[in-house]
Amino acid sequence: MEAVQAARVSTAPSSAGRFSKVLRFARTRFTFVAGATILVLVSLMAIVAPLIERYNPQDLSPVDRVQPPSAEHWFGTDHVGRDVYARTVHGARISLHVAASVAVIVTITGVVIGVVVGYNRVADNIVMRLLDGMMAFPTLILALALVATIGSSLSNVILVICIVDTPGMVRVVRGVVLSLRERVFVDSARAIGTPLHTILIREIAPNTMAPVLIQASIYFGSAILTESALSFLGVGTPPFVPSWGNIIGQGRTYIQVGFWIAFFPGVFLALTILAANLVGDGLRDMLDPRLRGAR
Amino acid sequence: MTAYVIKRVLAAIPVLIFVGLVTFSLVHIAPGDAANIMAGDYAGPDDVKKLRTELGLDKPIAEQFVDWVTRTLRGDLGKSIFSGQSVGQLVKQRLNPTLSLTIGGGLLAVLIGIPLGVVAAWKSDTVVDRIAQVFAALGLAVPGFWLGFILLWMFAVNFRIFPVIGFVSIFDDVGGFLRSVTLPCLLLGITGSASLVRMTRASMLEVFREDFIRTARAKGLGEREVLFRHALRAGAIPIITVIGFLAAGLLTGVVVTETVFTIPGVGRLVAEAVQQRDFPIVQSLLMLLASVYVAVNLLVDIAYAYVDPRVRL
Repeated sequence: MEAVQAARVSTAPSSAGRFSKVLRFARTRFTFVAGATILVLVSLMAIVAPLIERYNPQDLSPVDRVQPPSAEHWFGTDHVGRDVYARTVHGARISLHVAASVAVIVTITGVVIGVVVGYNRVADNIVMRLLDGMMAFPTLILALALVATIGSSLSNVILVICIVDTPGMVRVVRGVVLSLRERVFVDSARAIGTPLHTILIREIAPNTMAPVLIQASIYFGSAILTESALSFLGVGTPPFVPSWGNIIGQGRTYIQVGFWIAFFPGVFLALTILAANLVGDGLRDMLDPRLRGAR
Repeated sequence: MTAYVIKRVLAAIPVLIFVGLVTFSLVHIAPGDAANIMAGDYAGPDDVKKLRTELGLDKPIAEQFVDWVTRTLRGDLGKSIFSGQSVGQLVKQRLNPTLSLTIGGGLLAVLIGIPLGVVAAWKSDTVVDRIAQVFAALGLAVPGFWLGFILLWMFAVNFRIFPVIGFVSIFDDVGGFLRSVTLPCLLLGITGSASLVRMTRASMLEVFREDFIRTARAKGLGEREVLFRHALRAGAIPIITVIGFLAAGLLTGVVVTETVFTIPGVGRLVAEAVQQRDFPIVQSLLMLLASVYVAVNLLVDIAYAYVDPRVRL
């Protein structure tokens, strides 16, 4: 009993210390914490969307078309009477789905290709020439041309964004791998006879984590932006899907009579991209000491 | 310097060949039959067949490629499968608005972005710096098409200062021209300057940490002199590279901007061609814009080497 008491007493200051540490972290990394908080909230919104939508985002009600925001329809209604609030809340699902898929796929392909080309001269020469060529295209233009070719659907949009983003990830990973392979711990692993694939998986890959994480967070935000731009231009997710870009693209024609149709989804879109960027900047500050202060 | 220029120009050639390969392959990576897709939902088998012969899609792929390359090099960029107009004609008709917007927007981006970045670095960790950083963060996060919509709603619909749609050529009516390009240029300027602020600030901060700045301060120069006589001169060099980024931003920005403001330019042409899946137009525009982008980056590299001899080594 006494021991338990003592333990409690002794943990008290340390947990207070931890709490003040968290506080200090929140203060010095204010933008990171703010960004992460917004992202968590938007994710929650996406998860519970069916519960808080109040209306079905696809339900038409021509009688109630282009109604301004009211207690009934918080963000108003669009040109066919669909509830803009329900569509906006639902749009978070599409944006986050695209962003998360792109971040994960690009990370995996980027790390695999990057590690291989970092270790194989022949593959390096071929792959890097190809990727240099890919990077000669302005991203959105290439994405537009690819979507025009393979047709627009949610999975094609994800595929296209992955194609235009992967070269950047490969470059980052390759750069890290090239500097890692000269390091002593890799040499010693080789010296004790570790097979190459084990070195790649055990020694090289884990050490690319920090820059990969930073790059992935950048792509998370830019994927949301690219998807919405493609949808806005009418070639992203199919028009009936309530993605933020689609809602804004369709709503912009009603600028004279119903600015709310495009306004509200845009607020959420901008906020989500901002949050992703803040998290990315925060990660870079924390994980990459060389850039600290330069920001 | 001449050797460096030749080396860079030669290095751009394989890149352009690759760009051509990708552009050419576009039609062939389309799932199913490209002629079928282009002909649309209401076309009969004969229409598809006719289109296929017209586009040469029934020939062997190697022959198609050789045809395509020779035509492209001759400057024959193909023609629209909808209007039948040649790409050269279409681009020529639409070049005026696009050039006006990119020049205006680019200038504005440089005029906002670089001074703001320099001041932010000079007065780092002050209110001015914070404002510049918030501006940059917002400029990078707020999608251009939505910001354009807001600008349009505020200044064209509510205050009725600017037209909601359309473009007036500078050769027809200077006042009308200015009113029709103000908002689009403002949009391109704001979105373009955001990354310029960040990069300028970062490179100037590096300069301010250099020894010669400390020396300048130590020998008693005022802050103003340190900035204008020493820091800016050294800092101007890396800033040249951001022009390359700006070019990419303008090329993609113009597609979105011309759509938001309903301006009949090259960017709008890209968007329309993609929506209609007008492959010959999509291909040629992709090739054209990528070449412009490669050329701008080449010029940036050469300019950089010109002002900073170390790069030439």
